[in-house]
Amino acid sequence: MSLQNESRPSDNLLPAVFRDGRILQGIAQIIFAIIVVIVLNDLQTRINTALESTNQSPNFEFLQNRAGFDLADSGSYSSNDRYIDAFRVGFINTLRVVLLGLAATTVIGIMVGIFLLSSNFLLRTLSRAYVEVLRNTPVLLQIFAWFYIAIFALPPQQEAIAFPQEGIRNLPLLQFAFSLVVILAIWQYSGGMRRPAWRTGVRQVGIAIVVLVNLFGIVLVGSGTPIEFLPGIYISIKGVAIFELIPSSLFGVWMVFVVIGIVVAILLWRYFGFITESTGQPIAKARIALIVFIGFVLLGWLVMGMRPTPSVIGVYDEERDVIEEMPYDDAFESGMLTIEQELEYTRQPLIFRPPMLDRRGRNVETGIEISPSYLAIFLGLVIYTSAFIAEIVRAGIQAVPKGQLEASRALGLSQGDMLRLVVLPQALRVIIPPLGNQFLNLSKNSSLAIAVAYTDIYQVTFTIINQSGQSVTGMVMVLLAYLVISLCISLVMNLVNQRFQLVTR
Amino acid sequence: MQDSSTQVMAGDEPIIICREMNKWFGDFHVLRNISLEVMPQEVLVIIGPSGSGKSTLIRCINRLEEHQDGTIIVNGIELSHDVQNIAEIRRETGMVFQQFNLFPHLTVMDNITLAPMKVRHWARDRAEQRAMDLLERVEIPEQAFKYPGQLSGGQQQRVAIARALAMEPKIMLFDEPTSALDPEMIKEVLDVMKELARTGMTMLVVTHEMGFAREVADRVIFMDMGRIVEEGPPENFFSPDIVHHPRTQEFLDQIL
Repeated sequence: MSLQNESRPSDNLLPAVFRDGRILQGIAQIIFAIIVVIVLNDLQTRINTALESTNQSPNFEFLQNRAGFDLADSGSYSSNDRYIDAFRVGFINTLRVVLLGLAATTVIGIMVGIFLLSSNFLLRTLSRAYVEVLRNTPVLLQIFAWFYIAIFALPPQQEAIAFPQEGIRNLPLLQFAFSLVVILAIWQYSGGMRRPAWRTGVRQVGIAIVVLVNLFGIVLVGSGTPIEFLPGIYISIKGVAIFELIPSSLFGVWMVFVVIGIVVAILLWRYFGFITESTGQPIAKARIALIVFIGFVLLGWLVMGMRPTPSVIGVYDEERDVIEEMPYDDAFESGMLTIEQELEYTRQPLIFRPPMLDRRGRNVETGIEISPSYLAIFLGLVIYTSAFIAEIVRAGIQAVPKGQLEASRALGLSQGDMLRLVVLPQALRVIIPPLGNQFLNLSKNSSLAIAVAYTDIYQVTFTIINQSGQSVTGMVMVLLAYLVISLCISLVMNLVNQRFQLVTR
Repeated sequence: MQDSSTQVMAGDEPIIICREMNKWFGDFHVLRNISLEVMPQEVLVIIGPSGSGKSTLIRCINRLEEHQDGTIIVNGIELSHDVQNIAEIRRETGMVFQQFNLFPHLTVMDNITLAPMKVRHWARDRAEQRAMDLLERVEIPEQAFKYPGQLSGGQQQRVAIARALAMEPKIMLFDEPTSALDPEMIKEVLDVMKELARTGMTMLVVTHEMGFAREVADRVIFMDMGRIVEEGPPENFFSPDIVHHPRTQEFLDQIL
């Protein structure tokens, strides 16, 4: 009895109500809520006091006022536009870095991650060095390195590196085309693990023909078809200028061919998939669909070349200030056609326009211009993040138990089927959650753009705040912008993740 | 169409031949001068202490491990670095693992139909029909559309057996198929294996189940330190009257 008495709760000083776990938890919740309210209230008071002292109340009306500052990388924006337009420029510039950056870093990361597991010593060691150097140095330093070392070392714009070099070169086009056909034929008809002897023969004869034709074509016949090369890309200290492809008047009709090509390719792909399911006969459906699609695109291009054209075109001669009638071909070669005329009368659905500098040789007039700031922030983020993604991919692949590989081999699955059907689905399950984290890191690190004066959302908002004094509104807007981007990435990654979850008990 | 090269008829010639086979893991000599012949439809049980090389031996037969010296001929095809030979041997050889090694991201049905469709190029209908027949044979047809993670150990191992059988192999290799199972599940797996042996499958079984060896085996092999120490029919092997090699006797004394 005495033992029982000793452990009786009634001996405690506190009444029973305050020893009830549920009530204790409730009290803790209430105390916490009170602290939160006090802190928030204090914050509110401080913000209000600060704003009153500067005579500014937070509002969104000021966004309609004239911005009055210029922005680089801003398209058609000018200083006469409103604050909200500047803000939009910043948001789009951030998206340009984040979306293209995510795509690029994923591709590079997966490649390097696979290289980390390569049986090739050199490849493995180099990719290991890549990962260790890049993930163990600050990303800001890397962005500066791209900006001040890699890009500043490029030649000035007047001496820009051009690719390809301008000029007329002879190419053995016929031999190339013939070789391509033979290689495609070999590819189509001689594959497979257990190919019969005649297929091996076909492959060897085919390779011999390709080698002979090219040797003959280049060494003995010598000259090929003269092709005029125009520079497609300029690289200089002012960034990169890339050619433009402008849709001509034929573009719409050509797109019909392209769309039909896509539809036919998809239908074939599904049809052959169905045939494989129901007969078991293996068919390279992706390959066939791809070839059919390319066929339609080229066919469209050829058909467009047969359009009726006027025999003469009126060309404006600048020197003599007269409009001169010229035969069709001469008009195109004269270089005096306006861009509108070219687009109207051409036989091609897309017109190639090399990047060109204006008369002062300063600014890129035609073509797509990529600024050094964009290059620095883009390369810095992509390369830095790819090192982390490479490690995630490597770990994910290695996380697939060895027994899975053994079971696949014991069943006789080919190396490709094993990777595609057994290893990859299980590796993705491990890879996707940390990959999502890296995606979020990249999108948030894009605010480092301010270091190389790239006009991303953070930099633009910073300028807006400095000029308008609307710090609270500005900060709220920039926070919301990053939040929207991050939540979108999270949403997509969560949906993808759901697909790869394992079903267990 | 599948064209298997030389087909060996049952009862004619050995379906597996190992001659003077040696294997090392680094400096460790795992298999020493193994010479072994297995006839079609024979059930061969391999016993021995852990580390004696019995798992490695059967893993060499479908090239999950590479032997460094000697010859292995399976179903008339010599195992070498020739990838086509390896692929062909693996098509004719089913394997069941201690840890089941089912594909956790695929349903039971997909686990079973995967290899017949991808390797044997069967139509889906045919592969699924075959899978259902096999699931009925291992007595779990109702589990066909569940995932491996939803099954008990014994059920998973029976699915693994069905998966190996779906390829219609000539030889089945069992690598300690019951060692990872609870006692009451061991029986359900052994029953499936006994039934398989009765249908005339060539089986190589590494196991510690002496009851199974006594009941089903045509021949028992005792391995130690990478050598085949002793072999014989089970009635001799487990008879108290026979004089064994001292190492065999020591092992038998411990487990019986």
